[in-house]
Amino acid sequence: MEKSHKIIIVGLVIVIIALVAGLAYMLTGNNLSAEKGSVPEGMKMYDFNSEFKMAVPKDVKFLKQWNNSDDAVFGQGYSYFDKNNKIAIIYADSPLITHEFIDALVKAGNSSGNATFDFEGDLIISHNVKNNGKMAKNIEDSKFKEGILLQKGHVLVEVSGNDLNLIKSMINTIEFYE
Amino acid sequence: MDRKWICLFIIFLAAIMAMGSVDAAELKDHNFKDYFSMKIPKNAHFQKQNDSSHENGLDMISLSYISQDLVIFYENATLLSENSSKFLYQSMFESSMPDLDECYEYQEGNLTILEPKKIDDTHFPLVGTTSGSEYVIIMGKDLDLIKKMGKSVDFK
Repeated sequence: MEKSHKIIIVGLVIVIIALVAGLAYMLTGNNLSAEKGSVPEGMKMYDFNSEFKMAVPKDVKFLKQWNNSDDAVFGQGYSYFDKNNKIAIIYADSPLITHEFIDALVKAGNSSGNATFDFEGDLIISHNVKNNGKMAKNIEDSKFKEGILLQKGHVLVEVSGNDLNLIKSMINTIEFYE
Repeated sequence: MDRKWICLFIIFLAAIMAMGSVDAAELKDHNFKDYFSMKIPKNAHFQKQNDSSHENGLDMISLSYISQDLVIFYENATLLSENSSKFLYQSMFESSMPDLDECYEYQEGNLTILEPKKIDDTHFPLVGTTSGSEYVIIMGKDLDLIKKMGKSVDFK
């Protein structure tokens, strides 16, 4: 084979490798971005009173409650409870919700010995060590083992359940309306 | 004994079939002006109320159709979008039944359903559907009926 032919072949191989690499990069990039905004399998995006959207199990049927608490913060919010999927979502939008308020909540949980906390990015994960995971007919009497808190401005969302992976996959899809 | 059960079963089956046929015959297509169409009960007689406004460049059209058993509400407003639909459904539910502080909430296709734990003469479910800045909200005691009506909404 002539030297010029060899150069052309090597050049073609390089071009093909570059194309394949570029394609792979593009595909990987697309996958990554798709993963961030995508809905996990078996779930659908659900709109919570036009405050935010979040993925929830497809067959969800919430018992929704409002105005049923004297709590200065959460009394202003809404709770969504699904006994079958063993999940609950509480959110409140109040000027009382600040970073200091969240810190106080965490300190109170720690000092009472009711919970231990992990922090992952913006998420505060609460392991409710004294809860046995028992599900009742309503949210107040259910003893969820896990909870995840996410604060955005004056909005606080808490997703509770017994399956940490499930509630984490839910809250990771959260999209607040601007 | 067997004959009695067979008779009862046949009567039950006939009743179910009759209910189905009555149900199927009960609805008819209806055009709500040029805004949307929907199936409604054939014998429904509504009181209509139209409100339209144009203030500061913001258009709003709202129509209400009220009968003894049903309330149909349509709104098209420049300020609204599909993202505000859940807020509107909840607001309407709370203001219509201020004594309630809970309900079931779920989705079936494009429909959002807010259902009181106990349905009676003063507490009834709400079905809502939306497209862009247009909403249709249906309230009535017969949940299956208002779901069928909601599923038949066709925005124009």
